[in-house]
Amino acid sequence: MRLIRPAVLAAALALGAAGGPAAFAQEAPAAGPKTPLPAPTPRAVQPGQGKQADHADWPCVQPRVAELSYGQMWAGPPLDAALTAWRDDALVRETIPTLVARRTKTEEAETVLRRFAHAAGADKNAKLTLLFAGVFSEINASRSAVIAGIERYARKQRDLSERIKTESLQLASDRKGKDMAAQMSPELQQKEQTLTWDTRIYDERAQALTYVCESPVILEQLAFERGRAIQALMD
Amino acid sequence: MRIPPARPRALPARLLAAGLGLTALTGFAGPASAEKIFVSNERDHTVTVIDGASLKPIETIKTGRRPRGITASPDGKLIYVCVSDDNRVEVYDAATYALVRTLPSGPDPELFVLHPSGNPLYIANEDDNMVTIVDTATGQKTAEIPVGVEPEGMGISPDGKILVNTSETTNMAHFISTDTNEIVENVLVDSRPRVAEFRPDNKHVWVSAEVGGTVSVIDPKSHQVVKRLTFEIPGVTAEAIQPVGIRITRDNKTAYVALGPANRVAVVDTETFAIRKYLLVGQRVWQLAFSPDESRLYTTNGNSNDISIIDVAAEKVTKSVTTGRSPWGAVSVP
Repeated sequence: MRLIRPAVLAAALALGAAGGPAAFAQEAPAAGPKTPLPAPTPRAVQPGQGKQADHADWPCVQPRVAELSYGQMWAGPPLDAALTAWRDDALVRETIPTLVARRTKTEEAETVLRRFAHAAGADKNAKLTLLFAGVFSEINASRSAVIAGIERYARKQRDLSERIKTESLQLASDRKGKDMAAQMSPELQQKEQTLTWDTRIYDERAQALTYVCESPVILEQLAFERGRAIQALMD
Repeated sequence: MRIPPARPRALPARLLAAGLGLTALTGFAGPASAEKIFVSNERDHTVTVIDGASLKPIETIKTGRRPRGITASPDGKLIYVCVSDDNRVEVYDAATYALVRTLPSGPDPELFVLHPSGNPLYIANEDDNMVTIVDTATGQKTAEIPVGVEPEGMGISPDGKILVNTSETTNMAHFISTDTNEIVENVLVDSRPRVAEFRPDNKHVWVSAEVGGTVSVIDPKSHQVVKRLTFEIPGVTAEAIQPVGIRITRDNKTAYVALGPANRVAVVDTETFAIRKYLLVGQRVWQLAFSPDESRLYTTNGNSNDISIIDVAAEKVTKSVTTGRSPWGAVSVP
């Protein structure tokens, strides 16, 4: 459709010449955009993708977000002091393990929180703030550990894939030129079995990666859910 | 910081709600005007229907694969859904939830916009750099307009004369005349533009840039960017601020911008461009929809699998309602 534009433009110009400036002004919009479309460009940068280049070991589809920021789940005042002070509060320290455990059910966490808020009495808001700071710090720390673990896992997979490649090339070269009996020697059979096992381990780990990669997201959801429940109890 | 329960704002509304409750209790069918919220769930291949009065899910509609963009006909009787992985648009009856028909699109339709009259439908096809125009009466494709790479956001001026499409890779907002179906002008915006939304008075069109982290406010007559909005939230890293959905109130005064993984919705004064509030909603807030009377704003939260309900007058989040997995878009009909 854009190919015919020069013709349209020429027609408009001709009209303009014949009918004066008014006629030209009416036809002018058909001349097409002042700013043309650029030549085809490669696909867009995905969110967070710009940061991925530094992390060649990151094997997940999910973007690698090294750390959570508390403002993503906290609408209250800045937490700077609370992020260290929570450790000095015995009740907060005691309550946190239940809240950060993935196995703790939502209803159970809510009961724990209500009890905590009740015990805090007049200090409720300040104590709940400390509690959130603690929950956030702990989940963020275990999430960072999970991310480091995923990268370790990916490096091991890469090493294993290298080994499989070497083993398979070696086996092929060992068999080359040998008759069937020699090819079936216990030594070569042993090598073949090792290769089969390594390949199987690699495949199983690759499948497990899909679930492993969900872990950081699950932990982020947990931190958000606890944050929401804590804030619901504040005045 | 206590989250108050959702409450109707005016006395007549409260009476009406009580009336509806009574009707439900006594077993008579409620009036057809009861508000319903339709939410597309990208990972569940469903649409959740939520009752506007009780704010409880009342139905789950099975759709084609990967439902994303969702909108309603002007009379609120039909719900249009982009089913991206099935490369088509599905049309549902808003009352019976039956699939009425399917409409053609190009490959991977993500977002679309209906002409204010209800016909035609303009669809952005992410995979072939085209905007497809479909006649909603005949179900036929009437034209295709070549645009930039990975077209996505779609906005239409209130008079239906100008269509704005954004292309994620070309980073442009394409202004298209709906009379000629030709691009009138291309405006460069920030990286990965996602959504284009006109002010109801046609004064400006707002374009969000997900990776750029900004919203460009463009004069649709001069095609000049009159303001580039940036967002800063204490305790949130800049890279988590990813503007996507935009809605502007009918009085043109307030804009709401969904900020993705920042989990916030910015409340912006459309005249001064001052950001009044950053409301904490759910995780990865994506698209926004007003209730028909504009008393509430709904946000789809892709990672917490719920919608948040914002009381527009109070500018407060009042409640969240669980949906299917990865809620993407929402539309509310009377």
